[in-house]
Amino acid sequence: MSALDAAAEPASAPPPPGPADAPATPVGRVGARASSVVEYKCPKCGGVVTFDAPSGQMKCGYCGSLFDPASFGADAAVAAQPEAQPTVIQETGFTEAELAELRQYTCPSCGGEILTDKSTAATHCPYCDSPTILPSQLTGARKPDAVLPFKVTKEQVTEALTAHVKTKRLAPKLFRSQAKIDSVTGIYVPFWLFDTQLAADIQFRATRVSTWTDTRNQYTKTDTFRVRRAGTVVYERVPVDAATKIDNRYTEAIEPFDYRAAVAYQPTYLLGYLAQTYDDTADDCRPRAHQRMEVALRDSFAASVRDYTTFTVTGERIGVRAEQVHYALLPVWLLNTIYRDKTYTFAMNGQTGEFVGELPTSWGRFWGWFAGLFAGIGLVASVVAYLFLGGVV
Amino acid sequence: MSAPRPGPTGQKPQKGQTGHADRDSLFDRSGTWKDKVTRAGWLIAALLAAWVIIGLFWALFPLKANAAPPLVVDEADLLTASEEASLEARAAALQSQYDFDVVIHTIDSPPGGQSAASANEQWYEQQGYSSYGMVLLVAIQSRDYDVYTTYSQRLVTNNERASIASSVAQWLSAGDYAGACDRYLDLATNALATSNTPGEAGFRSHPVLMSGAIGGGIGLIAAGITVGVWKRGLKTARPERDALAYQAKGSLHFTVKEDQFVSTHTAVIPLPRHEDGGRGFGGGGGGGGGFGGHSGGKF
Repeated sequence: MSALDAAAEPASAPPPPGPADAPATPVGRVGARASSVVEYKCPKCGGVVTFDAPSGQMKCGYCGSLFDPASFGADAAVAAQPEAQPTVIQETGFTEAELAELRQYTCPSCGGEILTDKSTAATHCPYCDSPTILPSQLTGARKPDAVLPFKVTKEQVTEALTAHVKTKRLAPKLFRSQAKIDSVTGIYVPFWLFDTQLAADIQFRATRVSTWTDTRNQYTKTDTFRVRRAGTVVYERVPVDAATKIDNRYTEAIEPFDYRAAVAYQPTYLLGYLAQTYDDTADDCRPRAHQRMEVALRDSFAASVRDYTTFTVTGERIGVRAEQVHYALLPVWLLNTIYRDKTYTFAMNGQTGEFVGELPTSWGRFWGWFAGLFAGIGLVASVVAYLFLGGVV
Repeated sequence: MSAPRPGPTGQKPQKGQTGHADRDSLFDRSGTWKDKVTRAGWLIAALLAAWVIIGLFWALFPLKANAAPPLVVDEADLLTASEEASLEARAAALQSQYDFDVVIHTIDSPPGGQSAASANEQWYEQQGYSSYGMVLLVAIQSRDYDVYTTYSQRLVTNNERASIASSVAQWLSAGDYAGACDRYLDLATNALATSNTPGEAGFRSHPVLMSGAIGGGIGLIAAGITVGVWKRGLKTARPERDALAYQAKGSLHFTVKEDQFVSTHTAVIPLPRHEDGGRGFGGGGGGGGGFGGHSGGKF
């Protein structure tokens, strides 16, 4: 039984607005309310502790000590948690709209300013690289029911990406750069998971065709039937990505996740990774989940219409009988690369290693390869054709 | 202290960063789609020009650089030197005009107890003549003659070959071997000249151009398909169609399963009657069928 089985939100209860939904309170150049920042230090040596994917434990980067992530937050020393203070974003060049999206925090380790967007829940200090949690983004309605810890390490990701890009002859050189590949980032992406029971009543028009002949004629007999199927079906944990900034094409393409490995949410699992909180509500994501379920339901019902030559749907009613929604953080490795003003993304399932991506076409390589192949294949084909036409063979 | 500007994953570029730093090839310059189309056009034009140059080079230095075998081989010594030279010149003219080898071969007897037809065909194939040609074999001691044509029936039909053989046999029976050979060349010339598919002769006359065009076409298609597949492989992200993978095991329950018969319809199509069928199928034949062959006998 996974952590997701323990907590569920009824379908009818929309999540109350969380801090990220609260309007920013710009005063002068104040970007947003700053909030507390939490960093976790090793109780033995004070070093930086992060989640270690291979062992599934918290690991000190200095002394190598391992800790249980479920109890680490309570046992271990937690670094200073400064009180929320409005801080002034000194940076100029931001528009008011951009400022409304920003949050500014102070790093407990070095005092550096950590600037994030409003949906960031875990990040690194850009100055001392300390992994930090922004608890205000993960409390109340924004507290995840469960988290699925990373299994795939960064080394495995870079290895897979390097191998993948090597086979893509038309990819620009920028994407083959090891430095670029090394910038892949582990992110806990917020997902709404829908447990839904659908009820449906679907009518079909079906035909059964038989053919036979005698000495004079060919006969084609078409029997027409009215077919009806009604029933229910349950879909469990249908995920919909709740982060608007991450394209659903990528998060859907790296499915499925094995939810049996999900654990009850503890902020310690996020240490060392980035994390986002949802900015699409469950209601925003519900239509996409239902769309996928309805397609699957139609397929399942159609599969029961057997022994006919043809059948077509003549009418249907599909509705939700019961639904529960879970909020979970799922592990995804992401690599965004901007090439000619367009962002190209690689995404890898941080649990299974399944990955997809989009690479631009280098037109130089495209035409170069085209010319080379044209010349090479054309030459060989011409020689072969000449040998045959010229009677040499 | 200036803080870095964040993005959704912390990787958003600084203002002014456009990502144009990558210059991965001479051709890969930024530009509008019109520029790209223009560059592509120039590249294709350059490729075609290169192809023409290769073709011309090939035409000037053909693969078949070896001396062509003689078209008149008088092993039985039935012809004088001047007759032989004259026949050779005429045959060479036909070869040049039609790219079709018209060969004369005299021997004492077919070797190894072979039939004249078998010996004739085997000899022709071994000499390195064109796969488009014909040969007259005269075996003086065994009194055999044979006219063999390769699979060139569209230039010299089987009927024409039989007619040539029949006509030549009369001259051979009369002992006028040079006359028989002349007659053979006359009739071959007529057959080639009246060929109803002159395009084949033209096609045969330009094997370099034809092979270049065929090779170029194959290269164009193969290269296009290959880079097209590679380009498609650059994008692997596809949205999921359904949620079938998330259907709970054993959760599909039907409360209604009705299959109700509504109507039936039978279409009757009369079969074609046997006495009406068969017309236009099979049959055919008649003059000029088959791939090459022999016409010959004793003179």
